[in-house]
Amino acid sequence: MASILSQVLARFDNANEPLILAAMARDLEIDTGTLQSMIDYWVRKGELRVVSECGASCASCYGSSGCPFVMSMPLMVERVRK
Amino acid sequence: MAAQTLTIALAGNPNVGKSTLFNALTGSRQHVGNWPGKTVEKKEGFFQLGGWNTQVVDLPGTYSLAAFSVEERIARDYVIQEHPDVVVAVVDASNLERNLYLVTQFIELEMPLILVLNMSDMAHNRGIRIDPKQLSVALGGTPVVETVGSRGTGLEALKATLERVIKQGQSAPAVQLDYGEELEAELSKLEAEIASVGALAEQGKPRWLALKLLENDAEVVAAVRKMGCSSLLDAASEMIDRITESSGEDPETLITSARYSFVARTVSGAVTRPETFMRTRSDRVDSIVTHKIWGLPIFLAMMWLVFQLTANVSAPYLDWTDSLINGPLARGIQALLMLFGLHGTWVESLVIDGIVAGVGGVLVFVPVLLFLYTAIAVLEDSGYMARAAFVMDRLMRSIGLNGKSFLPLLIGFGCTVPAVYATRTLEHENDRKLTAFIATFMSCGARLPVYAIFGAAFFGAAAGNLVFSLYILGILIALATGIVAKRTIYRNAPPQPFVLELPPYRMPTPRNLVTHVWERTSGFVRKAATVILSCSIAIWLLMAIPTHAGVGEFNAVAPEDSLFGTVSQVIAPVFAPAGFGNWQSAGSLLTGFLAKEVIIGSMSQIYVGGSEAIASEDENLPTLGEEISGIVTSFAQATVLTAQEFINIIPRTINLIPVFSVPEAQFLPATEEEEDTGPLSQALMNSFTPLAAVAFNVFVLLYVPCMAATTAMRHEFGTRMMAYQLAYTIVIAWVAAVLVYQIGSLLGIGTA
Repeated sequence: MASILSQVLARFDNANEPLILAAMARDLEIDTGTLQSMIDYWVRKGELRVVSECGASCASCYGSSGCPFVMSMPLMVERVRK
Repeated sequence: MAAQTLTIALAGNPNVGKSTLFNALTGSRQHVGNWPGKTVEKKEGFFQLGGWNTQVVDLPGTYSLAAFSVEERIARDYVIQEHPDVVVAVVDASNLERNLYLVTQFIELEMPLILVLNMSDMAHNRGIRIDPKQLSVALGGTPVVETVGSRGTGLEALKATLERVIKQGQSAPAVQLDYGEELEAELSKLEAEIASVGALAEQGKPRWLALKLLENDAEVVAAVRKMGCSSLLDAASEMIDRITESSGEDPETLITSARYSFVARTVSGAVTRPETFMRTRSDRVDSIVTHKIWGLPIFLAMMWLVFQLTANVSAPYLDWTDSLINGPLARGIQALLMLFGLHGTWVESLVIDGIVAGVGGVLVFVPVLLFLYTAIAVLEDSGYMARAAFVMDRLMRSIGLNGKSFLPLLIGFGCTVPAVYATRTLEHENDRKLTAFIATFMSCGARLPVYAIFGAAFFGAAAGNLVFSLYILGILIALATGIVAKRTIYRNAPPQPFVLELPPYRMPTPRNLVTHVWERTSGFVRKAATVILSCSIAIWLLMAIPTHAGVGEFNAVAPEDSLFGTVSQVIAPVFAPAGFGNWQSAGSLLTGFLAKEVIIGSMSQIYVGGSEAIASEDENLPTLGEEISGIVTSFAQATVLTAQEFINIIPRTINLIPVFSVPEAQFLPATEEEEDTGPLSQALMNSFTPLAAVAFNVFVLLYVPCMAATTAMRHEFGTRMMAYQLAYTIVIAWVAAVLVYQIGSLLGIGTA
């Protein structure tokens, strides 16, 4: 039987649609925080990547925290295509 | 004995209350500095424990001892090199499973250990029951102490446990993690080889070193190499290959998984969680909001609500702002100009016809944008936007597009410029280009004033439906363009599925809402004071210059004979098939390339000028008191009408279903509520049929992005891509507007 870490990776490989972290944790019977640390492991190993926000603007309407239209989006992680 | 100093290392994940415990133990006897050669803060403190002078070292918060981050390296090196008498592992009792992973690594290090279950009150409140005795047994007899650091609860018990452990003689937990038969066999062999090399004793216990070599830990491998033990490294390397080949997984993954399995077994034996723990209220709501079938209708309903708020509920304040700017403000400015003897001069024309009409014509839409940005901020802060991204991802993926494109597209509802830059989150160049290409069809906030003025003039209470329809049309055109491009020029491998962390739903805080709305709206106002002001002056100038002799002189020329009018007339026939082939529309659309808000400013200058404000010198102007009284009264009326419009969202929604006819609320008598149609609305109603108005709005929705967005496109993807986008958007906008007008005309809809 594959290790729990490999099962996490397999979920990414076998998914046909985006997954919600909490739902995936429930399926694997672990808590969300633990799944998060398992994902961190695979990110460190280069198998997954975090889709980070990346915003820039025309500097015409800068708010105090950068472009006011850049939305703070939740954490997204995807499989790295090899 | 009194002179003996003991050392305690405080370890744990970040944010588990370690520092609170450190402060509670050491009080004011602290020293704060940096770890040698690092910028990471090092906190040391002292307290008396029994007869011992006891030093406490607060290690950096880490999730593991893998030595990948500076903090992890510091924590690991300290424990291995300084040999503290006891490691006190502080864990968050309400998040035990994740926290115990670090504890497994202290067990591997064979360090004397005490486990502190901090925040035990929070765990208790969440219905989590931890059996400390059972937990202690599972962790090989590691003493377990429950604390609430913030209240100092359990501090004495911790000190007593520390004293007992010291007095009894420190020993490591009597438990070993099981890494599986095959790995254990290799581990034993490597451990024996390491034990035979005396010089390696300083680097750690043999079993731990063997584990690290099998994990191919860069630091340990380098240390072993430095000691000249290359045969050991060769042996470890062969073992890694053997294990990987037979199990299909590398030893590091197997070892890490074994730690997680150990934690899972420990938790299952010592922790009881309520049924609801695994499925929170947020999860239950998500099962509906992100549902395969219901998710999309719910998203559309949310958008519909946003545009009802934006176009209908904001309308009374829009009217109030309009009457304020074109009434008291314009009259005040005019009075000031009279005072300086400028009445009837070109300066008065520039200020009233140019600046007040142009900039003021745009600023009246501030209430509309306030409502839009408030609605978006509520959806964002409540956590709904993340769900929207998830729902739209599924839709986009199902038609072959990259679902993550929806993030930049969502940003495009605010402004296209950051949407273009946000495509950097996408992995592939083709996906990036395509997303930026279609982002311009997501109607940005700057186009909203155009929809709002036309909606109010032609559709009254149904203005929200027009705005909603335009936004949906933008999304559909974007998706259609994406589908075609994805199957032709931008073919890629299918997008990779991803995992999304949905934040729990929460009530938006007023502070966050105010910050978001202020920053976004102030950007619009700043733009009015810069770009739109410049454009207004330029347009006034172009409208004041006659193109040929005999048609008038500077500032005394009919608009159609001005430079602006003449150029606009050249391109106006292009729009005739779309029903708005007049030079005024063509001229306004030309200026819209600079910034979309300028369209309204230009229309205001062309159609209205300062006609409403300009009064003759002998005309009786209202007194200051009358002006103030009028402003306050009309504001109060606008507030009542806004409340009325807000409530009327419900009957209007129900009345969308043909069989229903729920009466709408009316808070003010009809005579007072009756809208005073503004001069621009009136002028538009004289120049456009309802159908031509819709076609014009469709064109505004789809045609070229503004100059800033075009520059962003060029900056990110080059001149050719920018040129393609400009050409494509012009063609698609023209075709769509013509189709709307021609089909509508054939069906006889809105032609008069």
